[in-house]
Amino acid sequence: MIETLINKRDTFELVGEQIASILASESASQMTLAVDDALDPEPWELRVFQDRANVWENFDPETAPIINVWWDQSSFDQTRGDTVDRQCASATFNIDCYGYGVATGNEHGDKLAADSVHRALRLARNILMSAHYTYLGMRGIVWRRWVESVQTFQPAQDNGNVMQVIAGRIQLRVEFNEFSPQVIGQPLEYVHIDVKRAENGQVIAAADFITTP
Amino acid sequence: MSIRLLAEKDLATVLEDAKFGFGWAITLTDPSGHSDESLVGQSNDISQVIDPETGQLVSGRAAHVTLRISSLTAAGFSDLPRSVSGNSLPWVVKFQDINGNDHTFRVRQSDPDRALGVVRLTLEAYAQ
Repeated sequence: MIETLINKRDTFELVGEQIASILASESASQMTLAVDDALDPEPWELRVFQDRANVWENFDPETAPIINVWWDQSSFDQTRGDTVDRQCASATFNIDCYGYGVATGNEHGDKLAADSVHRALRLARNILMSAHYTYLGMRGIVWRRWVESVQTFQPAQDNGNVMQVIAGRIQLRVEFNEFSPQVIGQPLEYVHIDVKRAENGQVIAAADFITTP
Repeated sequence: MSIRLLAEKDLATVLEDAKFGFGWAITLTDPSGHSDESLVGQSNDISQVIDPETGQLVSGRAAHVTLRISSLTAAGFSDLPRSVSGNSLPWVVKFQDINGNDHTFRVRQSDPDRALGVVRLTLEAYAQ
């Protein structure tokens, strides 16, 4: 039996939280930088969530893009790890972005929604692939992060909704170590060995055994 | 009188009767700014989810109005309302909900029924 309580979090959970944390904190930082440059900070605002599955009801009155960080899957490469302690996982995280647009003047809501989701995808990709986050701030655990694809989804128009919402997805692949509980060894015997070389070149090993009757 | 003409005249009762029917006051403004606040038609504005194809739904609304084409002509509108894809201003529709709150939309899609003489407008949110 495993002697210790499994009271830890797997790396995929930590990486998911780290991705969401990076996006949220960098969005706030970018807004501050925009203000410093005398720019309207609103285009740099992202509303970041993690592992949310409920229907989004967050677009009225707020209009900033929504990002949902969603762990999709992990696969394990047998050539990168061992069967006992550490396995290298290759995980896919979906960074789903939702843009919202309200028509105004002669500007069209669908175009504004597309602009909004493009902006969210652009910010998320730039942040996650920046040199600052080569290892997502988890060097030693994370081997590599890589944007595998960026796509948007053509909105279904048959329902003619009042709200203009367009979504896009960044598939971020992250490779990291996963660890598992280990056997804690019990010392059986202590053995002390001195290895010496004699004048004639012979290697001599002198061993001390402390045996328990 | 042909039954189709009779049906068109019946629109005054089945579509535009605001006293005993479902008729509802609707304001229509065309891209040139010509507006009429005295139109009566039918309107709805109900909840509807959006499927943005991510596997997660977004809460939304669906809103439509239906107007009598002959009433639009009588009100001085030379064209039927339609979605404007260029850079001109849109056709704008305003009406109140059942609780007296004002809502403003632009025409997203126009579906005229020239056989019966009505036009159904699919609406989207519009901020003036």
